[in-house]
Amino acid sequence: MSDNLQFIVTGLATGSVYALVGLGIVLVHQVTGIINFAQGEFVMVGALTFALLNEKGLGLVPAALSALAITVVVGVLVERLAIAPARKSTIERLIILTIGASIAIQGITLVVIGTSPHFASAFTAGAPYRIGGVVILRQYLWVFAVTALAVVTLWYFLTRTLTGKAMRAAAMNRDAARLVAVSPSRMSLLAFVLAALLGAIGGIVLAPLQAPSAGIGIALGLKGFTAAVLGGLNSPTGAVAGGLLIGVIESVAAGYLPSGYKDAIAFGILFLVLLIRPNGLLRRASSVRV
Amino acid sequence: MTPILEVVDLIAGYGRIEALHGIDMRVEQGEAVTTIGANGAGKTTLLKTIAGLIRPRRGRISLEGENVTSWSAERRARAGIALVPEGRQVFPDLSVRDNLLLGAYGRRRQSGITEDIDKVVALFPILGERGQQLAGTLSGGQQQMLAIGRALMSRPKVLLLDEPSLGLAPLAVREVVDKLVALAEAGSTLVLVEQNAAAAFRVAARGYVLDRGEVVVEGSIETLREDPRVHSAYLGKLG
Ligand SMILES: Nc1ncnc2c1ncn2[C@@H]1O[C@H](COP(=O)(O)OP(=O)(O)OP(=O)(O)O)[C@@H](O)[C@H]1O
Ligand SMILES: [Mg+2]
Repeated sequence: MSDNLQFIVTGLATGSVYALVGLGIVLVHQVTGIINFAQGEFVMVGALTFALLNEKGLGLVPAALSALAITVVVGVLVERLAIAPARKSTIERLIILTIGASIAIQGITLVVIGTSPHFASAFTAGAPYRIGGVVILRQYLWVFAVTALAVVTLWYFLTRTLTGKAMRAAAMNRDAARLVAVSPSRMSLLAFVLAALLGAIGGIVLAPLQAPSAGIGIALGLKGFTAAVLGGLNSPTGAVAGGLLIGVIESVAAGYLPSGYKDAIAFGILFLVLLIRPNGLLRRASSVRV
Repeated sequence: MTPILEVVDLIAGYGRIEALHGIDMRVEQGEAVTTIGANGAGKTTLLKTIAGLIRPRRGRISLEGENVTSWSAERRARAGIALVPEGRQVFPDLSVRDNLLLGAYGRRRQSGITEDIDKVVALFPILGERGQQLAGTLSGGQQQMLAIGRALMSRPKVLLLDEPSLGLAPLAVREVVDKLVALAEAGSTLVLVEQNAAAAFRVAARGYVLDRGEVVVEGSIETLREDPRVHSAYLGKLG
């Protein structure tokens, strides 16, 4: 029993990162209609930058801030170089462009940084907590707290600030938004910036748990996508729930299966979800539900 | 005097289809003007082109003498062109109050917004009563009032309205038209597009008749009323 509890706690920690990835995918999808397959690369860039700087002796806060900044720059570049110029073409083509962007980001990272993983130290040193046989790493608590904070901040932004409401308005009705001087193109850029931030945050909290390398983005992106699809692709809360669920299922199943099957589990879930509810995937969404 | 809005030789359309074949139009400060026309005459195309949602192929649009033809819709909205679009197009999943707040999104200064919301609510009290309700749950007439209120929140120099009576119950049409009359009397500059000529003539002092992308009659409401083409096409069937 305590074995299972242990798997659940571990799964919730990685699931939090999937939740952040899923949240970024939902946000961009809602505002632009695009499924951003480069979302996992945002996590990779954030995690790798953070770990590299941390290895070089930079403190937690400056390393994290630098990782956030660099990931946002990558997000802006993806939107301005790949998405914005092709804005008038089909959604399918834009989605392919995000896959291209994802490959490009990974390729550039490989050239600049190489294939080897980098190690970040946990945010706070110290022995893990033990509660009734369950080991809770201090970093898990950071993961939970930071994820919760990011989710609440995003919710606040979307529902309580004028810019957030303008962003949702642009998602609901592009032309009507333009008529009140809200620029859908700027909102698309903003969505990518926020998605990059969410990805980087996920990467930063994840880095001390799993030493990141240039290749981790694909699996993370697909798992975040699975989380988003599980949640219905238009629900931020659904994406968070989906991410946590995938993390837990993966972790519990991995406890009983050979470790090589770990990724296969998430993709099995994705396969099932797409099989059961394939509709609505490429539909242009009408609004951000919160 | 330079007109608030001037449209010169405007040609616009969709892909290969040309919907407007050279429209000229002038709207003076404080004037209420109507454009009537049958289905497919090009009324919506005209207003969307003035608002910047459609790029014209030729022609010029000026706001207070300034050529805005190359400006984006967003920039025109900030400069004072407000369009109440066909079919209302409120933001359905936002509250009534948030819809109004977004109407003021393009204003450089966000001061005076509460006062302006109060003014809109004074004109349309229902919007005050339903402030927290989602806009998508309002009735058609209420959504139309919200769409007008949202446009007013930008403090427009010219307010364009695309068939505000469309699809509304007779009582709601009456209420909306009454409000437009009040706005016109208070000195707002209006361009009201309608198929319902009787309603349009209550609001406007001058008008244009649009037919298949061209202005076929223009002049005072009296002139329009007496024109046989207008009479048979737009007023005759209303009795
Ligand atoms: N999106 C579009 N694509 C192609 N043609 C269009 C489009 N919208 C309108 N048209 C055509 O342009 C012409 C003018 O249409 P428009 O919508 O401006 O007319 P309208 O006067 O507003 O009509 P209604 O009273 O029905 O609203 C019509 O012939 C119409 O078929
Ligand atoms: Mg029309």
